[in-house]
Amino acid sequence: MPLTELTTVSTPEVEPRLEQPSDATRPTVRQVFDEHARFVWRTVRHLGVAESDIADVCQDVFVAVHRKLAGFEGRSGLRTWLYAICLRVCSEHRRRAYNRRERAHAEPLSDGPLDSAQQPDTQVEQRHRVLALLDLLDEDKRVVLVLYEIEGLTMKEVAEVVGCPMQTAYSRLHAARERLAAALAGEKKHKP
Amino acid sequence: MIDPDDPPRLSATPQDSALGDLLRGAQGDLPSERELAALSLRLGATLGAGAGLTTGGTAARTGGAFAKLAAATVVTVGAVGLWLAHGRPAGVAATSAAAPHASAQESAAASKEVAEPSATSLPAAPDSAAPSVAASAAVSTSKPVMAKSTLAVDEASLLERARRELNANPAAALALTNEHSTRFPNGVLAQEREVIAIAALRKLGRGAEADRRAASFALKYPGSAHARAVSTATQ
Repeated sequence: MPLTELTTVSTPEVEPRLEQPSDATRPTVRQVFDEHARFVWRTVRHLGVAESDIADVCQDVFVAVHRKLAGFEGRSGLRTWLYAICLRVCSEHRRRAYNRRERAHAEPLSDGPLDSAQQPDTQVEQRHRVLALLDLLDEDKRVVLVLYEIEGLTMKEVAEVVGCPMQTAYSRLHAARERLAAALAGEKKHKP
Repeated sequence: MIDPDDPPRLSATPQDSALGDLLRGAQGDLPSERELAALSLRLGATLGAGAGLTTGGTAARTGGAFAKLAAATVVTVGAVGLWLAHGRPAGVAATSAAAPHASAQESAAASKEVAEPSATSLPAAPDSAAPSVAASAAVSTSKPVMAKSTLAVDEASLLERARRELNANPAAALALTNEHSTRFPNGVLAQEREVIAIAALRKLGRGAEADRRAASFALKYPGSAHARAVSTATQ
């Protein structure tokens, strides 16, 4: 059964692998945006970018897409290619954010969700909970978990995006799940 | 996508699992329509070239010129600042109540600008903006039921024009924001419109109006992402 039938939220249709797209068949930046922007945003959020920076980082992702799209050769699926760009941009952003924070002696970078005023408390609360849990993970494990469990990539795609052997991706997923399960079990134990 | 060799996903496991529940919730944590439209707006020219989907009449741009446009978009996002900059909640800004009254002068200024893009316009200006308006109007009359996202992009296109006019011709920018409030009374980019309108009023020397609108904005959109931008615009 496809993942989309098992979950209440649709993930983008996984497109057939593009084989050496020509200029005529290569999607435009607009098409990539229309189809994938929501998922790029979600990925950026779950990879640990502060709420107030998500729009900036997404913008950087699509500027990179624009720059690189002509060179997209279809060796990987478009979605895999796009997630790889996301990862690079997020990683670069975190490095810059870290440097800024170091220079500014650590003022918090996030001021909370941009649309928090319009969102129900439960949704914001749930988001904070998920993000707090994900923050417990090392970056490499977090990426694997987010791509597999939230974004719905296959493990093969995850390994491809991350650029690691399949076995490594499996190990990271396993470790990430264990860490989060332990954290949740700990929470439960400490609840009155 | 499912690969039979992959381990079961916790997020797709039907039985109760706290972690599975959280991960499923995370799958549903997508950006709002407004956030996406604002992002689309920020990307402006970058999305416009050769797109031909829902750009609301934005002219296609190609080749090397487009690369410059994309770069210019990014630069101007920072330079023009305002709502394109990622404001952090602070609390200031404008109202939509004051929006809809375009003066004849403003309308004329807007029309002129539309017809004759100024030489000082940013390179991102695709300003065959008239077709954009015409196309949008045609769509809105002939297709009363329009996809929300298409409307949002149409809105974005109109406000992108307003943003581009802001420095060179604030009267035109203001007129375009007034047009926006008339055409999209329930638009998803009302906040962005107000930010531009307030900045335009400031540039036109109409400080008292800008202040009123900013105060109204603060009341209407507490915690807005654009609060800082509006604050800057009203200084």
